Amino acid sequence: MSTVDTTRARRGRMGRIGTAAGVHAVLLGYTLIAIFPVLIVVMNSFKNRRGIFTEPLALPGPETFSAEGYATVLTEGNFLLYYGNSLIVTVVSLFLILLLGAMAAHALSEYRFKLNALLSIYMILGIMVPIRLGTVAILQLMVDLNLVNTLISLILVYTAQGLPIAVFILTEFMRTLSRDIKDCARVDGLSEYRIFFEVVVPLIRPVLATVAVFSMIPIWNDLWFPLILASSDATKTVTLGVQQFIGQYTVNWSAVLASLSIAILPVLVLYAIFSRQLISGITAGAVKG
Amino acid sequence: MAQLVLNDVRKRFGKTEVIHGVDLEVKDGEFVVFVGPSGCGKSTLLRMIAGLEEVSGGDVIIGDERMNEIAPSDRGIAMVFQSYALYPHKDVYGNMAFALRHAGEDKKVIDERVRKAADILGLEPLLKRRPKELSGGQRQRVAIGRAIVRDPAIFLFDEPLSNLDAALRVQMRVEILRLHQQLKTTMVYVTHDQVEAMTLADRIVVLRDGRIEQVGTPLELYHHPQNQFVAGFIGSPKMNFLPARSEGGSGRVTVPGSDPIDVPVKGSPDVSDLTLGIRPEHVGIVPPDQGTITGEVMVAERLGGETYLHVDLGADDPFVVKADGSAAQKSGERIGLRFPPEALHLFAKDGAAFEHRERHSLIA
Ligand SMILES: Nc1ncnc2c1ncn2[C@@H]1O[C@H](COP(=O)(O)OP(=O)(O)O)[C@@H](O)[C@H]1O
Ligand SMILES: [Mg+2]
Repeated sequence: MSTVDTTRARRGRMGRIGTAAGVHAVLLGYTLIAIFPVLIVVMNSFKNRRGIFTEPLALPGPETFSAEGYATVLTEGNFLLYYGNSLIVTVVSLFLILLLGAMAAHALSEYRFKLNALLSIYMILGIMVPIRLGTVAILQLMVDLNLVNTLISLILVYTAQGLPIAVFILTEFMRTLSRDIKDCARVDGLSEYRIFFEVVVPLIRPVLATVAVFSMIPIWNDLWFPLILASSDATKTVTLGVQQFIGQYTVNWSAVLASLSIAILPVLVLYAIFSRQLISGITAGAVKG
Repeated sequence: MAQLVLNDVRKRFGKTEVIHGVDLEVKDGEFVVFVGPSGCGKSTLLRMIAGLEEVSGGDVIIGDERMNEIAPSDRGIAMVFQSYALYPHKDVYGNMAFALRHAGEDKKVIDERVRKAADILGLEPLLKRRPKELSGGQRQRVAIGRAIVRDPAIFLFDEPLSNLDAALRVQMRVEILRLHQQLKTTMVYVTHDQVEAMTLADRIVVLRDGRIEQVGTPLELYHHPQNQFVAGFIGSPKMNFLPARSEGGSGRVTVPGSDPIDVPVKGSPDVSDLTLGIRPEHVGIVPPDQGTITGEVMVAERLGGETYLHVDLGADDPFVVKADGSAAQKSGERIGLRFPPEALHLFAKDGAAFEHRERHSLIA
């Protein structure tokens, strides 16, 4: 009787370990696949042209090591300017998406007013219709507003692109926030704005970080709108700027790979900043715990 | 002097009215408890007093002032919520000081008031902790401390003990009672737990479906419920109800299988569908041949100090009798039941109680 029980228990435990190992194997495989191209880019950015083409999968050795790509990138052309443009556009757009998105979500989740449901549906439509469909109209609008070849045009477009999903996710999350804590702040005499900034924002920090991370990548990587709206030399972004090393007949691969490697950096830094916020538990203890 | 007056207060959410005209006067320093089943509108009523919910009709008057359009922070109230609602990113001190800081109060005054409140509630060792580092009872004490610091004219509590476990609930109940004796401030307290209501209240307001069923002291509600709902809601285990027939008026009735029973009520109900009520703790147990009515014990729940006998009298619901802990009756045994006349209640078909000829001796 008892031996049967322990065998069954052992089998159960083995089964669980087996499942966990399977899950981890899949995750590990996925991670390798995801990291592989990045690794190749970074590795090859430290090689000379011959090294890149003869042995693309090898680590940089004494014969193939070269930082010429980085030298080219940092000295020739306006790479630092493009880099700065990308940073400005991304950071400002993110800030606007988070600020406006959170405020809109607060209004939609907290207040009862007539057009509430309609506005929510309008936001969902914004998620479903890709903003690129409106490129022609956007270009016309920017021409009329005299905003072509300015960073502002990009910031406006990216903010519009990021807002619907941000509002949607933040609204859903804010609906789950305790009503009591906001009411308590009202009894304490806070204005609705200060309730938003001093009570709600600290509670939604982890979700803001999540939204920030996945809003950031498409903005940083976008080639379409910089090409159409801001292709002048002063307003190029990194993704567009890299194109200067891709000539019609020759491609400076060292420089391309070096600029791509540098371009990964800010994304990593921003991700590191936000993921610290992702570690939740911040709200634990606010309400029943 | 009336501290809080509700004057035909109504609340509509969209088209549905959930509070149907409530009139109430709360005296200065009184401890009033709103009690009723879940969804009856207790919280809504309290939130209207606090100013967190718009008043759809009638007046909310605090002190001498009509408060309908006044902001919550200007009503001189402080509120304690069921979920504690502490600011998670502030420590205990910061939580308690928050409202005063916001009001631009002097630093020294704030410090003095926070420390005094912390002293009353025994929170001094915890002042530097974050809410997540506190137990449920400590969190609720911080929430109460935060209310005390504001020095309100009226404390509002919305089910403050519902999230605590049973033992802690009893302890906090005593603490809240002590707090009221110490501060002597008006308190309005919402709960669905009739034991909390009975133990805390100077006066209880029983609500059902957005209407007041009865207002009175705990003993008034216990001994002289004005209707069958209040009779069933107050007291645990709940009052037994038996279908009764009038026998020629003057309060003489029979229930199926019983001898005539005289209920000492005013007036002379002479209708057939009445309801007789008696609490489990008032029923006497006698040998079968001496009882007003007899029945078979189905279950004996032994709690040690007392025993609940579930007796089959032929009605749908079992009839509960509270007996002594050492009562010898077993399931399957036939017993006789005696109903002391002064403990009987008689209700008309619409649930209204017939008034007793005499008031209970403990009630003035
Ligand atoms: N914001 C709201 N919108 C619509 N109906 C509501 C709202 N708040 C409460 N109600 C309704 O009002 C009634 C009373 O609710 P409430 O005061 O919370 O009851 P209680 O606190 O007694 O359990 C319920 O029927 C509830 O569904
Ligand atoms: Mg409630």
